[in-house]
Amino acid sequence: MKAMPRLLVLYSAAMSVFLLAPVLVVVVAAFTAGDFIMFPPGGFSLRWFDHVLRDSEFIRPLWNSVRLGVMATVASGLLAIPAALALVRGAIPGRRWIETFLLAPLSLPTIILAVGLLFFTARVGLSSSFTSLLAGHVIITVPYMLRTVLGVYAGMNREIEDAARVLGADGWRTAWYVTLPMIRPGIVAGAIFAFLMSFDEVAVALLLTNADTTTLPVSILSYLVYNYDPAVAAISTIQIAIVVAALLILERFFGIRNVMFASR
Amino acid sequence: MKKRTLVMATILTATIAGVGVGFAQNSAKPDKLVVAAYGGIWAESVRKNFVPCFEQKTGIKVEIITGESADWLAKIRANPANPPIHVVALAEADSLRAGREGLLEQATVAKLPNLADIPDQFHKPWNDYSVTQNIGALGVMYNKSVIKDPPKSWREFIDNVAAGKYGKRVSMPAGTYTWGPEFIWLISQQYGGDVDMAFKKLKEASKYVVKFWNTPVEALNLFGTKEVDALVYWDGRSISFIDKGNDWAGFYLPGPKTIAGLAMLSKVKNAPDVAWQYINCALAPENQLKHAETILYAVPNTKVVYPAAVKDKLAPVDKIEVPPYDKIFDKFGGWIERWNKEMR
Amino acid sequence: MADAARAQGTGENGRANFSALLGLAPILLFLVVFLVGPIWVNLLESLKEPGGAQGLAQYGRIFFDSYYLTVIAQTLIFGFVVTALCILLGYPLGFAVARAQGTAKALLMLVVVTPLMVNVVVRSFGWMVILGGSGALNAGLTALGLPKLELMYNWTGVTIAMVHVLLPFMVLSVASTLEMLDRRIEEAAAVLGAPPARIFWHVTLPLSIEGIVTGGILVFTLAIGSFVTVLLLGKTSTMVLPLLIYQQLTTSSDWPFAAAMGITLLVIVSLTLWAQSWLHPRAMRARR
Repeated sequence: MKAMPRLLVLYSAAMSVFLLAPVLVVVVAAFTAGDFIMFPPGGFSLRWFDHVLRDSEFIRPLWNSVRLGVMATVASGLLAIPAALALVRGAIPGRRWIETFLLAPLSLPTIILAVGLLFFTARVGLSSSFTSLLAGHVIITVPYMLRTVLGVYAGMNREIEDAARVLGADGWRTAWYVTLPMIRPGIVAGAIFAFLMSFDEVAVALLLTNADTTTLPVSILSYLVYNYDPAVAAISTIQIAIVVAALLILERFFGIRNVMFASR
Repeated sequence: MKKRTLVMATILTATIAGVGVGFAQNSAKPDKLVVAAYGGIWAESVRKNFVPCFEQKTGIKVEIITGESADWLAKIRANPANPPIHVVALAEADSLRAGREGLLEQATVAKLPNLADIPDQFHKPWNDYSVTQNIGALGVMYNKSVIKDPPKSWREFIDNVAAGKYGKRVSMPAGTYTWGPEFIWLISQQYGGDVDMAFKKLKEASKYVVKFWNTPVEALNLFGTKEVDALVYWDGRSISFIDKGNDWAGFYLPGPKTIAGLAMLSKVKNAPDVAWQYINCALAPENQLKHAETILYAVPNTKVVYPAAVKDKLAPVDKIEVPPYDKIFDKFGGWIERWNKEMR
Repeated sequence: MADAARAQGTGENGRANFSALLGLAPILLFLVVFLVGPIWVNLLESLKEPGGAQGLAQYGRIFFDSYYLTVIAQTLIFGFVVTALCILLGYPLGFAVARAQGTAKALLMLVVVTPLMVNVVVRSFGWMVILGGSGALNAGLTALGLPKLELMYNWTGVTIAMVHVLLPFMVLSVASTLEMLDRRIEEAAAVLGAPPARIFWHVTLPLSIEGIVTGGILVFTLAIGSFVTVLLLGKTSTMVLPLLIYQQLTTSSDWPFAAAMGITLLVIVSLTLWAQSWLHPRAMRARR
């Protein structure tokens, strides 16, 4: 394959600086020796990492967030992928209406969803249970998975599916062996969005968590009401490290970049 | 296929119902007390200064739930019969709302012996549904090398800002901040209680305001990075900032009086009765003093005697005025709307 | 051959419809319970009037007040501007992600999603350091002898920060459709002598339109639904509807009014999404 045009390489480099800059500021600020978030930081020290890693106020919510994010992502995939395939393939009456309805969670401000969900789940006896928290997050994450899979699948050359059908594969086998591998780029993109949206979601979490299920964004928000020290930068840096590690593991074992070329 | 959908619907409903019942039984266990607190230094103080007293007396464990005032209010509103939080620490206005809506239980000296040592202005305006845990006072933090002689009164300060005396290097709370309406009231008091005048003055001042802040941390960020030379801010947080090696900054309370930011403790209705014991621990003189030393806010208990080291750092109660909430509370919504429309 | 399969498929229409319904049933059921439930709760709340009556007074407060109409317009314009900027800035980057190889590709993808890894409040503080009056960018300008720029506490700052965090959605959506694109079509066009610009305009872009639509939907809805960035980097005049909703729920504690605004936003955005599903040309359908 041809190398990328030089202009595109330059552009990508410039955009990378733009994308990384504010995040790097936070990471650098986390290594300060001082008592306040300053940039450039006053001296180098790991004391704020030490502080945060000992503090159950951050560490427990961090794991709660990871767990919740993974569960919300998996649930979104289970709900959204079959629906996306059905929407593109099936000759369903009212398709547009269904699609608009399925994407409706995107149109609802999350604070309004959160308040509604709080009172609704309280009425059905589910309040501040993990079920309602997970449901709240899946509502938010499921449209991302649905839309990215729809986008890839609708743009896909579906003659290969037809060929498989002609060659005698039934619907399920075609879906599993032909369709699913082909839409993997959409699933990967959707899963990344779903996880990161859940990982940083605060409105639903504020109202539906209890002391045991508190998530990291809730801890950070509440911490910032009365404190302004580099602990927040340090926990954010740890958060970044975890996400990067997860993506690298994903890449190592499943090869994000290779997923994209599954069909060729 | 319809059958299948039906079966799935039934299973889902059954699951929901099942989980619901399971949860209802769970939360009936009286083996813990859930207490609301802000994160960080606040939660630390609760854990260090109040919890041991309570756990020693009752043998019941305390669970701290972090968050913010509006969220705690929503949570107890949604579940009045079986509240997920037993002791809340709401902001003044939220506390009034909760009291009016019948979400809280009234305190009496019989249930709460230490209430006897709390001055009336820290519980009466709330009809005894809530009692003040600590008192923050709004003042001015300033850069000593730029502003040599800060004005002694609020009126002079606002007039100076509006006249551009400090340049566009000032920040103060937005009317939409949690204590924003109280701030508007404070300014109106400097002009004979005239709210229109307060808006007029604030509008004039807005030319020189870098940002009307909405969250305390953005305010501290503005001051810490020296984007502003004067910041209208809370005393405890200002002094803790100055104490940590920022002696270029000064703080004072302009006169004649200033408003308070109060944390109001309440026992939520239908919460276990041991909640009173927790609140009593939080109001006990020795624990109040330790709390004041930790977070550098004054405390209401009259039996507390501050040691010399902290005395100058805490706002004297006679400099503080609690706004007449019963008179102005219903105007808050209108003021916020007016702020949005006029301060553009 | 494909036509033959299709014809055979129509014979199995009943079966196809059955499996389609089976695919849709779980998500529909889930949303009917956990999305329609909360919307219903809000709808009922929004009909409450002061004094205990029921009616449309809360909606009247919005639609008979030029201030709220201005804010709605402002919110929509902001959404469209951010979406347009994300398409313009994000498409080439998505193209680069799709075409890059090996480690460069993995690195680029990692860089693209970094804005999403940090909490919104913390990220905004990062921007304050860069965009502030004495921030890094202005320090650089001053060093070069150029005048300072007002980049914060106005629409500029809010837009920069919003485009920054929403770019990943555009880039990855575009990249994932470009990945699926059969490059042999481009190669065939090149062999036939078409210049690269024409190939891009007539072949690549139409085939990746689904990616732009996906990215556009996600960016637009997120841009007009979020408020923390606007709260921290904007000022009183940079008001958007979700920020008003937040204020009503927290400082004013006026849930009925907040609910009415929320329902209004829901309807406006749903109409926009519904309209685009009619308007946007389905590239694949054109190809068939």
